[in-house]
Amino acid sequence: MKQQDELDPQLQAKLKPLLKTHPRDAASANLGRTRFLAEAHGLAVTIPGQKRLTEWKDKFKYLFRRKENAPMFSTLISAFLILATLLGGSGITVAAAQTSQPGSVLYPVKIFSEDAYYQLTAGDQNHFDLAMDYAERRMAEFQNMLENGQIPPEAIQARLQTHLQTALELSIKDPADQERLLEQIRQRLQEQLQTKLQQTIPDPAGEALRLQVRDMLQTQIGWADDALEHVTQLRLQTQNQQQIQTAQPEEAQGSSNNGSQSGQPQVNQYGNSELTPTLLATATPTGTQYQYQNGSGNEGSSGSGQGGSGSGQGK
Amino acid sequence: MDALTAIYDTLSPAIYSYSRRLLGSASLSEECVAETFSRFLHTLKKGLGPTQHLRAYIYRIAHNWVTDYYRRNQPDQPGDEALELIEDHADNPGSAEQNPSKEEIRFVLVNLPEQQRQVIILRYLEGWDFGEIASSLGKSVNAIKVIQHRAVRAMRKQFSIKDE
Repeated sequence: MKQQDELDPQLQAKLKPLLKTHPRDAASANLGRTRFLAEAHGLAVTIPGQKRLTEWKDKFKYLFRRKENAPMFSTLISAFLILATLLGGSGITVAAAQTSQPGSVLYPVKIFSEDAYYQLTAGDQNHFDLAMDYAERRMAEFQNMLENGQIPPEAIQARLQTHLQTALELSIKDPADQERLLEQIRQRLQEQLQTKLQQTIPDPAGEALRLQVRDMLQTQIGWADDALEHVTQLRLQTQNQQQIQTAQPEEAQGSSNNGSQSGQPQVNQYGNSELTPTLLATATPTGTQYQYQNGSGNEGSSGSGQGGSGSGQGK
Repeated sequence: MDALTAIYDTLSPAIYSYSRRLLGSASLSEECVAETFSRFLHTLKKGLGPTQHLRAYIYRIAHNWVTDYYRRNQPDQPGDEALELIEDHADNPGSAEQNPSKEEIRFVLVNLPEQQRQVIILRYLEGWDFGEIASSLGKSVNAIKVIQHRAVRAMRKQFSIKDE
């Protein structure tokens, strides 16, 4: 035999006594076999039906079992799978909710996602765009429900009003963009009014709501118009002030130094070289405009009451 | 259950012979066989156990039992060794000085390092090849050859076998 050739013959001879086999006692062998089979029967447990049905859970748990050799890897994989499931699943739900209408199960998800997206978005311009988009969505939902013979819930109307109010507040936040944004609000609301809420609703309750929303939109348009008018006046006031400021140094060259100081009463009045929009917007447009347009009156009206302080604070 | 019966019927005689060679006692060998297969059953119940090399796995359990036995008890217990010695002398009269007794051989084996003892027993007494032993011990064939070489050198020294 090949392996016998590799064995040390002298050592093999020494170990020879142990190679001698001893016959096994048949009774002891049978007794041992019987005991083994009895123990095997005792340990063999039939898997109950419930266990068979829930055995998949154990296998699922096994997937997330942390192994000794790579505990961090197992943790990361577990976290990734959980996040992917949650985010992926919720993402699908939110996407499906975007076409939902009031009254459906997914509509609250749509509203929640809108609010969350608004909160996560940065910048006044982006907030303004979102508020206008959401207002148009509410308008469309309102219109659809009326056309389908349903009474829109009050919450839609309230949210529509909130969106429009937010857009109006954002539009006057930045003086540089006030005019453009207010004009945008006015145009879009007029488009909504022209395309929606035109048909009379047979249901008296629905008709009442339609008229109510129409009135609300018209009110919002009116506010936008008023604000636009104020902003226009503000722009004109600013332009006039700049013209006055550029004209006064020329007058001062032909008069004394006191004349140049008394030519800047408005600057001292507001503590700034440029009038703040808020102050001007609250001022009486015609009165303010009149003072600026009247060059001699400018000196007379403001110079008399404010010239002293102006001369005192001018330099 | 049929599979377990087949495993027992196939391997228990070999485990008995293996333990009998190492323990020298019929009753201890039966105890070793019973305990070996009992441990095997409990391992299976826990959902563990070997997926391959079943014979090597069972031998390993038996070997561990024998090792534990020698840790707990000194190997000079008489048991039924006295009868065997009488048999040996009857088989080989006048060879007592040349050949060590079974107890002496076991003493040398027991005092070998764990892996060397296993390799010598499986190679010289059980007739396994290097591949089987390597699988059983989870080592390479070359590693087993090195272990065997050291074990043979140690045993030759113990038996006062001079190098040729």
